[in-house]
Amino acid sequence: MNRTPVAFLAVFVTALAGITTARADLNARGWLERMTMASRTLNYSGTFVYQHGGQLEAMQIIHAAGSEGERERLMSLTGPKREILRDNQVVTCILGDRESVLVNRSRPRSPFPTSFSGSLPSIGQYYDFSIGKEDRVAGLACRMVELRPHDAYRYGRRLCIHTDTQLLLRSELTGPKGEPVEQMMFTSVSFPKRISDQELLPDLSGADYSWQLEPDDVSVEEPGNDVADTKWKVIHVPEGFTLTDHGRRRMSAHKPEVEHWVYSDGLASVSVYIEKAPHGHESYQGVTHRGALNAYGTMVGGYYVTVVGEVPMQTVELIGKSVRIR
Amino acid sequence: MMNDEIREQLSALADDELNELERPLLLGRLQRDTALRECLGRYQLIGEVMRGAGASAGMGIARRVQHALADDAPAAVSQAPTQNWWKPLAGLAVAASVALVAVLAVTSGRQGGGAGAPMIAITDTAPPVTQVSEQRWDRIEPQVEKRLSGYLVNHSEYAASRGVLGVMPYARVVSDTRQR
Repeated sequence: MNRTPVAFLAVFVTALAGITTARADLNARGWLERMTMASRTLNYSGTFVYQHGGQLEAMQIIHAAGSEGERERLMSLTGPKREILRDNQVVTCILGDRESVLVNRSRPRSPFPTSFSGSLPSIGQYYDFSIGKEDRVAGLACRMVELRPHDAYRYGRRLCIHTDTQLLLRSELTGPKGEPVEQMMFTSVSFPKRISDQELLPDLSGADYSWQLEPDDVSVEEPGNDVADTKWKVIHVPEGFTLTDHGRRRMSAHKPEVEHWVYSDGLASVSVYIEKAPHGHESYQGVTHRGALNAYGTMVGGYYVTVVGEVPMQTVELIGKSVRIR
Repeated sequence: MMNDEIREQLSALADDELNELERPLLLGRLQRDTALRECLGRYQLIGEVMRGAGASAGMGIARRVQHALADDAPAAVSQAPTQNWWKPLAGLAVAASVALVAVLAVTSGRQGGGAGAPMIAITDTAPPVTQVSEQRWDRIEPQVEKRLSGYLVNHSEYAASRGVLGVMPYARVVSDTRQR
C-alpha cells in the first residue's frame, strides 16, 4: 500500500515532465508561427547589423503590409550600394557595385508558413524547440527561442522575438558546436502606422545598368508532382528534406534553361540547379559560401549541377554528389 | 498610372525600336513604377500568346524586351575559357587545394554505390564534418560568379517564402562580397 503513492507519484512526475516538454515545444512553435506572421503583416522600419565570417555590415529595411500585399525595401548602409525591392509581382535586386539589376518574379507568401501549417510534427523530428529567457534588442524586450537540430545536416537557430509584436529582432544561425555562423540583429526599429510610397522607392535607379530579367517561359510543376519527365534524379537527400518545388526556368533570356529542384525541411531550403554547359566547358567544381548559404558545384554529363542552401556545406555537397542522369 | 505614351514606349522597347534617349528613361521608370513593373508579370501571358501565335524564332515580346535591356549593358563580362570555381592547380592557396582534395576523398568514400538507387534519405546523425576553406564568392571567375549570383537571388525568394527568417535570405544578397 505504501508503495502505491510513490509509484503513482513517479508516474505522475514523469508524465508531467513529458507534458511540460511537449508544452514548451508547442509554445516555442507558437512563437515561431506568430513571428512569421508578424514579419509578413506588420509595417516596420529599422536598421540592423548583419554579421558573418568576421564581417559586419549595416542594412536598413522598410516593410509595408497593406491590402495590396507586402512591399519591402532592403538596402545596404555600409560597403557598396545595394538595394532589393520586393512586392507581390517582382523582386528587383539593384547591385550598385556590379552595375547590374536582377529582376525575378516573386513567389507567393502566406502569413502562415507552409512549414507550420501541415508539418509541425515532422519539424519536431529534426529540431528541438525551447523557449529561453527574456532579453533586450534595440531597446525592446524580446523572448529567446532556440532550435537545435538533431543532426549535422542543418543549422541551429537562436532567435529573439519581440514580445509585443512578435517581430524577429535577433537571429543567429549556429553550427554543430553551437558556434555562430551568421547573425542579424536590429539596432533600431519602429512600427509606423503608414509607410509612404516614397520610402519604398530605390535610391539607385539602375537605369544605365545591365539588366537581367527572369523571362516568362517558366513551367513550374506542383510540389510533389511526378517528375518523371526529367532525365535527372537526386539520390541522396538528408532525412526530413522533401521536394517542395520542381520546374524549369531561365535566369535570363540569353541563358539556357535551368532545371530547378527545391527541398525543404520546413525551416531550411536547398535548391538544386541543373544547366547545360556550353560545348567544351568541362571544368566546374568547387564550393563557396555567403554567410550561412553554402554552394557546391560539379559537372555531370555536360551539365552544371549547382546546389545552394542555408545548410552546412556537407549537406549541399552530399546532395550535389548524388545528382545522376536516369 | 500608365499613360498611352508610356505604353507606346514599352511597345517600342519590346520591338527594339525605342531610341537611345528614351530607353534609359523608360528603364529608370520601369524600376520606380509599380504598375509598370507589374507589366513584367503580365509579359508571361503576352509572351506565351506571342509564342503560341507563331513566334517560331523564339523572339516573343518578353524576350525582345530582355534583349533590349541586355543591349544596354555598359560592359560585357569577359568570357572565361574554363569554369573553375577553385584554381588549386593554378597557383591559389595550397591549403585550399589540400582542403578540396580532402573533401573529395571523404565524400567519394561516402557516396560509393549510390548510383542507380532510388532516392534515399540519409539517416546517420553524425556525418563526417569536413573543414573546408572555401574560395570566397568574389574570387570566382566572373561567369561562374554571375551564374551563382543568379541562383542566390532565385533561391532567396524560395527560402524567404517558405522559411521563417524573412529578412535573412536577402541580407545575404545585399551583403558586401569584396575582399577585406
